[in-house]
This record gives sequence, C-alpha cells and structure tokens, in this order.
Amino acid sequence: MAARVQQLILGLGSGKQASISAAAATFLRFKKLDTSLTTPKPVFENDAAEIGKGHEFITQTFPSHYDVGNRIEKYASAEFVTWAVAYALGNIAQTGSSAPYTYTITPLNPGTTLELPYFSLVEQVAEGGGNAIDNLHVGCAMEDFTYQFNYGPGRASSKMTVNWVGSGLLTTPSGITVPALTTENNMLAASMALTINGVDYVGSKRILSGSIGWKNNLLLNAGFFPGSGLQNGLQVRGRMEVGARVPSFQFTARLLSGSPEYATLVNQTTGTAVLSVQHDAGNSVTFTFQQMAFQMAENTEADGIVAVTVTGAPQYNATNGVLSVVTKCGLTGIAQ
Amino acid sequence: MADLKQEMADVAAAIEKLETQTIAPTAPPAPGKVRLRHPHTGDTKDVDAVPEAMVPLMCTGYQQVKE
Repeated sequence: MAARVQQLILGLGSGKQASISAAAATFLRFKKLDTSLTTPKPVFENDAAEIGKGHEFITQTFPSHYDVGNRIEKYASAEFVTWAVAYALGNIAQTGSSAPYTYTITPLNPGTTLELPYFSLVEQVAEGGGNAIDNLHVGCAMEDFTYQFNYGPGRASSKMTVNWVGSGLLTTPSGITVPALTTENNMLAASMALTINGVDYVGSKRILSGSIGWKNNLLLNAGFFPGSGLQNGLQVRGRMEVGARVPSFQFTARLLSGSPEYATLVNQTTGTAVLSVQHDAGNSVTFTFQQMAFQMAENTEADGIVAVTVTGAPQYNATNGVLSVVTKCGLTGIAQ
Repeated sequence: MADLKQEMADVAAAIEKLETQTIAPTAPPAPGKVRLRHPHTGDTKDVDAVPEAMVPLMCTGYQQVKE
C-alpha cells in the first residue's frame, strides 16, 4: 500500500494555545499548494571531532533537540490570510457579534511581550486502514508570511505563503478529529485597490505585481533555555520570542511618462501604503503600512512592457505603528 | 494596647466584609465599542470598534478584553 500526498489532512489550530505546551482545542482544515510534509526531526550529536579516541570516527551519539518547521503555500483566502496574519503579528482584536467578523491586527508591542500567540498544527495521512502520518505539533509560532499578487487570471493572482516553527512538542498519534474542509473565500487580485503615497496604482491600471511580507526572526536558540523541557530525551523549546522584526513591501508597475516613483525615491517622500483585496463585502483584507518611503526603484520590463520595481522602506509611525491589517471573514475565534 | 486591639478588630472586620462582597459583573462594552486594556498599567478604554480608534492603542500594547 501507499499514500498519495493529496490525502494529507492539514488542521491548523483556530484558537491560540493557553501556553506553549497546551494544545489547541479547535482546528480549521485547509487545503494547500505545496507538497511538503512536516517531519519532526530529532537531532543527534556525535563525538567524531572529540580528542582522545585514537581516531576521527564516531563512537557514540547523543540526543540533542527537536527541530520542527515547515511552510504552507496557499491561494489567498480571507480565512487563511486572517489566520496567518493574526499569528504572525500577534495583537488581535475580533469585533462583530455575528458573521462577518472583523479582525484588527497589529504587531505585538515588545514592551508587553516578546512571545507571539502559539498555535497547534496537525498533519494526518491515511494509509492502509491506519495512518502513515498522524502528528500533532504543539507550541508552534509563525516565522513569516508573504502575500503575493500578480497580473494574470485565476487564484494564482493572489497567494499567501507562511513559514512556521515548532517547539518540538509532539503528540503521536494526534488523537485529533480534524473537521471538514473550511469553506474558503478566495480573493483574486482583480479585486485589488492599491494606493501608495497618494498614488492610485489600480485606477491608472499601472500595477502589475508585488508582495507584502513580515518576518519575525524568531530567537530559536533562546527557546532551548535551562529547564525548557525534554521529550524522548531530546530538548524542546520552552518559548519562542520575536527577534528584530522586518516588514517588507515591493511592487512592480508600468513605467509611464511622469511616473512619480523616481521622484518619490529621491525626495524620500513618505505616506501610507494601503492594499485591499476582497472576495466580497464580508470577506476581505486590508494591509496598511502607516508610513512608507521608497528604498529602491529599478527600471525593468514585464512581458516586454517597460516597468519599474519599487522596494519600499516601511517606517514606524509615531501614532499608528508600522503595519496594521484589517480582515473580514465568517470564522470566529481565530487566535482568540 | 486597647487601641491596637480595636484597630486589629476593625481590620479583621473590613477584610471579612471585603471577602463576603460579591464582585459586580463588569458590563460588556456598548454596541459598536471594543474594550482594550494595557496588560501592564491596567488602563482600560472602551473605544469605537474601528481601526482608526483601535490601531493607535493596539500598537502601544493595548489588548482586547472580552468580559
């Protein structure tokens, strides 16, 4: 017997964990595009380099730690983007008494905590009447997300990719009954509104592609602190704190006579950058960089059309911070 | 000595009274409002449930409170 990768059942914890070691109680089941399967990697050291053995070969191995992490690449739905951004930024307020719910999400303030909300993740692959894979990863944190948009038809015009890291805490078999697939509302790039530094890039039909990113640079080694815990004799992380976080924004637009990008770069003009995309009025996402300068503007081409690729330099605004994300979707309790 | 005994009795009575008091439930925020609290200072604000009002507080560390 064998199992196809499409049999993968991926369950993402909906509510945040009460602590890094307490698994979530509710899960959302999502489809994804990449074929990667998560491996709970136990890492072992050896004594090959140690002196006094009489040779350079391994005579003994030693348990070290668990190394767990993976990526999830998906078409951007309001539901998944909400889930990903909530766990990546960390400060979430859900409002609305009935669907659609509104999530207002900002980066956590390091003066209050360095730890993002932890989530659980379960992977199951049925095989031969049992499971080839049935792992519950407890105490996971979001390392980064990238929202990408492109010209072209279909769901590929709007995608979301995340990378996550696990504490190493693992339950096998998971004991989780993953619910039915979440009904997702995909947001095509054709629905986009984009205004950067006062310039409407959709109204002028200039925008071609771009990306919005956030990287937490999690302090992974610091998670293995004295007393962080052991599993099967291997160290597991007892915390995952954000390091120096990096927001990013890049876009490519057609270059026309009078295009303002070069002047904006040279003058270091700043303003907001607001990108909205939606499925309908009840399923949407709006990214707002509160203060954006341009760091680079390079002339390029796309399908033979002259264009300019701009790399933004998101700045911290004294009133509104660096980035806020407002989403609407029918799911309640995400990261709550 | 009598003063001290009386003071201790007063304190004990005050503690007993405090312990028997039922804590009044905190009213939820009014419709259209959201309750945000700073985890360190304890300062609590009910603000309009719109990003323009919420984001400036949230980026300084205020977090949603659900009563």
